[in-house]
Parts: sequence; C-alpha cells; structure tokens
Amino acid sequence: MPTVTLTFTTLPEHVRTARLVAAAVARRHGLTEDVLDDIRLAVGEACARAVARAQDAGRQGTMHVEIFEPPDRLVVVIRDDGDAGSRAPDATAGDIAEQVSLTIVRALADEVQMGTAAGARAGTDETTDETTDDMDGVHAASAGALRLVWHL
Amino acid sequence: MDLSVTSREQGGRTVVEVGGEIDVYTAPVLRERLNDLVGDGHHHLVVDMENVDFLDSTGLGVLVGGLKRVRSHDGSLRLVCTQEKILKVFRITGLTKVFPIHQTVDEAIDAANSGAKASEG
Repeated sequence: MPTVTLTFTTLPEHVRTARLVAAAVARRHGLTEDVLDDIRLAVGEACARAVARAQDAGRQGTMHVEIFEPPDRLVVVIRDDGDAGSRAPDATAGDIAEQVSLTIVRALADEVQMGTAAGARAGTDETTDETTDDMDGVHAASAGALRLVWHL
Repeated sequence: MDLSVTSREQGGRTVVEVGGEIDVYTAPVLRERLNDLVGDGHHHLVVDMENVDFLDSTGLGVLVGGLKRVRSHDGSLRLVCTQEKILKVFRITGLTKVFPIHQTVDEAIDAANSGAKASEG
C-alpha cells in the first residue's frame, strides 16, 4: 500500500509538484539535503520522461507516482500510460532524451528497475532487474515504468 | 512560473542571470530568452547559474542548444556555477567537458577576454 499516490495529466507543470511531494515524504526520514536533492532530481527526471513519452505519442496521457516506505527504503514508482511502441517518426531525438534521463536517474538512485512490455502484457511485475522483489504492490508493471529505490 | 532571466552587459560580454528552477515546464522560457539575445547580436554569453535552485535534462538541453547557436556565430557560452547540486547534473551527463564552468562572473569574463586571441570556448 503506497503512502502517497499522485495522478497527473502528463503536462510539464505537474512535474514540479511530483518532485516536491517526493522530497517532502523523503525529508521525514532524516536524509541529508544532498540526498533530498538527488531524490527531487531523479523523480523530476522520471516524470519529465513520462511527459516526453506522451508528447512522442502525440497525445496527453496520465502519469502515476506512488511512494512506498517499506522498512529501510524509500521507493518511488513512476508509471505512465504511454505506449513505448508508438514512437513519433522523429524517434531519434526522443531516444537521446530518454537515454539522458535514464542516465541521470541511474546515477542518483541506489536501485533502478524498469518495467518491461512483456511484464505489462502478462500482468506480472516482471522487471529488467534480477532483484525484483515485487514492485511493492504495483498491480502490473507498465512498459517503461520506473521503480527508484533509496536505501535509508 | 518559477524562473527569472535578466541580462546585462559586462566586460564586453552579455551576462545572463538565471534564477529559480529550470525544468521541463520553465526551460522553454530560458530557450526563448537565449534565442532572443543571440538574435539581437549577443554572441558571447556568460550564464550565471548561482541563483538556480533546480536544473533537469530539459534545462541542459536548452543550454546545449544555446551553445550551438552562439557557436554558429563564432560566439561563446560560459557558465558560472559553484552549487554542487547543479554541477552534479553536468557531471553525470559528461557536459562538464562541453561547457567552460567558472566560479564567478568576473572569472568567466576574464577567461573569455584572455582567450579571445586564441580560439574561443
């Protein structure tokens, strides 16, 4: 059961709200300011990626941010209803932006897992990382969902 | 809109002071301001990031775009940034190798002027 669930339309103006809420939840764990900066940036990048995926698909979508607080960890899952398969013709620029966002996220979180399309189709929590303990209650891993973990 | 952009001339360069948050929502405003400055003939820019509270990859993209644009006019773009949380984003993405980054505006202007005889940037 997530502590916090946020649902937004994939508009750029909502990304700030998501990262501020994640930082506010994280702050209660007594983390240092630089770790809070990391969380703010990583969650912001993941949400900005959801916005970009919707723009690539040429439609407004929905993004979900769920924050879980299991013992000794902070877990943030960012999902969107973008279909990773439907890229706009100019996919190259989008691919580069995607890789930059993922590079940043991977450098800032202790663990990063991404939901796979196969997992989404099968309705399972299959992720690309071996250490899946299930995505903390996320019903089915959406293709391209990101699960970010910080060890407390 | 949590972003402010002001500019002034100093030491033969155009200093662009950015304040607030540069993210996917506010970055287009910075892009427009940089494009306007370049369009008005300001090709040697010093972007002061000391009052920037947040920078994401969209903001990086705008700065890269600004760098490319001034370079197409044989110009230059230097950054002033001492905040670790902002430098970190440049470091993670390897962009510390692309942008000259200085500790103060004066240092950036001095470097630009002393390098003016050699190749810029």
